Amino acid sequence: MSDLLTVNGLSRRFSDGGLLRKRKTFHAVSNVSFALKKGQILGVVGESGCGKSTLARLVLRLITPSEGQVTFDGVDMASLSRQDMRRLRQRMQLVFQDPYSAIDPRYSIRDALLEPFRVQGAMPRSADETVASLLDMVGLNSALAASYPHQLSGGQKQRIGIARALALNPSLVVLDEPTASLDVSVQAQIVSLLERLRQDLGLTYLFISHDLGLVRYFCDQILVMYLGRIVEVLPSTAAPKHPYTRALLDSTFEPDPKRRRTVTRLAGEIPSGYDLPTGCAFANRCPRVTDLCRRELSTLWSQGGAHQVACHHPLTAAPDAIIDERSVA
Amino acid sequence: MLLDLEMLRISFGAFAPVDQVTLSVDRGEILGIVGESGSGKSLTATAIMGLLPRIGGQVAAGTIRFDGTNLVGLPERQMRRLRGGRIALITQNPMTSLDSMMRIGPQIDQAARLHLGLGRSAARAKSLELMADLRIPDPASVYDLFPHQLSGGMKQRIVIAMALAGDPELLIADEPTTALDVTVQAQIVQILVDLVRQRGLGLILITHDMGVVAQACDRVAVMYCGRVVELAEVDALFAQPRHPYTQALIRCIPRHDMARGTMSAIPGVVPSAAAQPPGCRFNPRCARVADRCRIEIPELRIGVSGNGVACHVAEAA
Repeated sequence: MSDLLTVNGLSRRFSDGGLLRKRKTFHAVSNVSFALKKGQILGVVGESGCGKSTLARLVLRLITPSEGQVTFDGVDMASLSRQDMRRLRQRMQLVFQDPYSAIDPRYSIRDALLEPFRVQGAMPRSADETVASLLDMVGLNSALAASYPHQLSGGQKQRIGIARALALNPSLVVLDEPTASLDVSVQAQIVSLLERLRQDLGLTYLFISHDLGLVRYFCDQILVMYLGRIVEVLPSTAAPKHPYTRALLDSTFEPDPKRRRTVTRLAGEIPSGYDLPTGCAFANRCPRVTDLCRRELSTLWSQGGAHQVACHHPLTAAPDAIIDERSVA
Repeated sequence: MLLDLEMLRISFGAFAPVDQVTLSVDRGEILGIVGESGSGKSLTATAIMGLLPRIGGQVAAGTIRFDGTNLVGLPERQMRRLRGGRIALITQNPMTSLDSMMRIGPQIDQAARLHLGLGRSAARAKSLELMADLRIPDPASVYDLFPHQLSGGMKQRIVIAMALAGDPELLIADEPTTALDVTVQAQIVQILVDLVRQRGLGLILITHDMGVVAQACDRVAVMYCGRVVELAEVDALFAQPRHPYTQALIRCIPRHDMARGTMSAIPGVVPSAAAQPPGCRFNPRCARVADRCRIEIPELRIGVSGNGVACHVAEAA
């Protein structure tokens, strides 16, 4: 199958200070490349500050990259005029993390769902019918059209957010932590809805999340990010080889008291993206660190198939040998 | 028992968002209270802290016994002596507990000075020791920083240090890791578990995360719409969940070894406090609902094992 989206050497830096303070550069995304095939679900996982949301906005060209290229369905997005870009935006949509602030509280649900058509200057012939079918598509009663966001639950609002993203028949949907503000029982509903919609409408997803468990369940392939860089490209069934991915997995608590473990506790927290070290950014927290890691950044190299890792000392042992399964008590 | 809640009912005017809550926690024990938003878990914590009047609520019935004393109806003066001293609270957002205009150290000192009567230098020494216990690097310099100079995980450690400064016997942690990254969450949960084991504190860990429950708790109270629907020892809860809500809650957690499309959701939504269904509050979403469930509210029946379930169907089985 062909690639719907290819990203090549994408970077984004933000600067602040300047006039009175020393100019500082924040590296939000550094040299990110990947390809997303039609119909695939690509997960992007990492902790806060790893650049995953910036990456989403770069892909949609809501912010412009400092370097690199984004090609959507064969078209280099940087080459497009504003008008062409707006037209292309119909085919790529974003679903936000916080459904509470994504919808204008003064809009009725009907208005919110018709907003994308209004922006594109292409109102449907029968607005009521369109609204009803969009609501039906995301499993909501069409009577909700007349209500306002504050009358809806978080899960219902997120369904509206999804319906609105799908209004213009996009090919690519970027989902930025779509379930992070929802209860678990509702999260499962939204994830099932997304699965069904992808099959019915042939959608391609870029799915951003901090939850490695959810991403491994939902996605075909996963990009693990740390301080703006991809540290591992992980097929969702493969065992992680980057020590950071391993630590993320070990930090996820499984809902099984029989598998309690003393977490291989990752010391420290993510350093700031301002002064990136010359070597591997994970070096100061990594249990496998050597001098080489502090000196030199590893590029992504193949671990067989699509699996790639940016690490001088990737894990080789079977995953179970690494999990330390002592009881906490 | 260190803390014993019996048939607790919390009311706000005509509404009773929490009702018939019975649970207990002993010294050296971690009780998890798990539930989704609107389940009443935070209100229960607020009631134990004696803070309901501040948000316009009150305990309408039942008792809260702390070390033998009923806290319901206790004069505010006496409650104030317990709060922050023998009973301490850790909240979800560290910034609600920290004063952004005040240096870190003196904020930790407060509880020890107020509740233990320590002088300035003794309180400072105690704070530094606590900070070291919580693996805060370089306590002496952090002591003089302001909250905004710290990361989220460090702030939450400071809040834990503040809670520990008054030598509490009971610690209530209300979603202490929800705002944190997973690797930091793992560190904080480990710290809380170690505290209970080393100091013999009683800990009530309030969370919506079944993973945290499985990892840390000894016993668990599952709440739904203001009621405890199941109370069980942690291994039993996960091995043989009895309430259909508990079963559904465990099933809807994504795991990597599940095939895509096999995660099950709970249909419907948690009803609002103003629109509670008659009978069992879970009945409109329950896969095993019977006629009786739509009429009669099931009571939590606790057996000799200390485990119990509030469900007509589970009891009949």
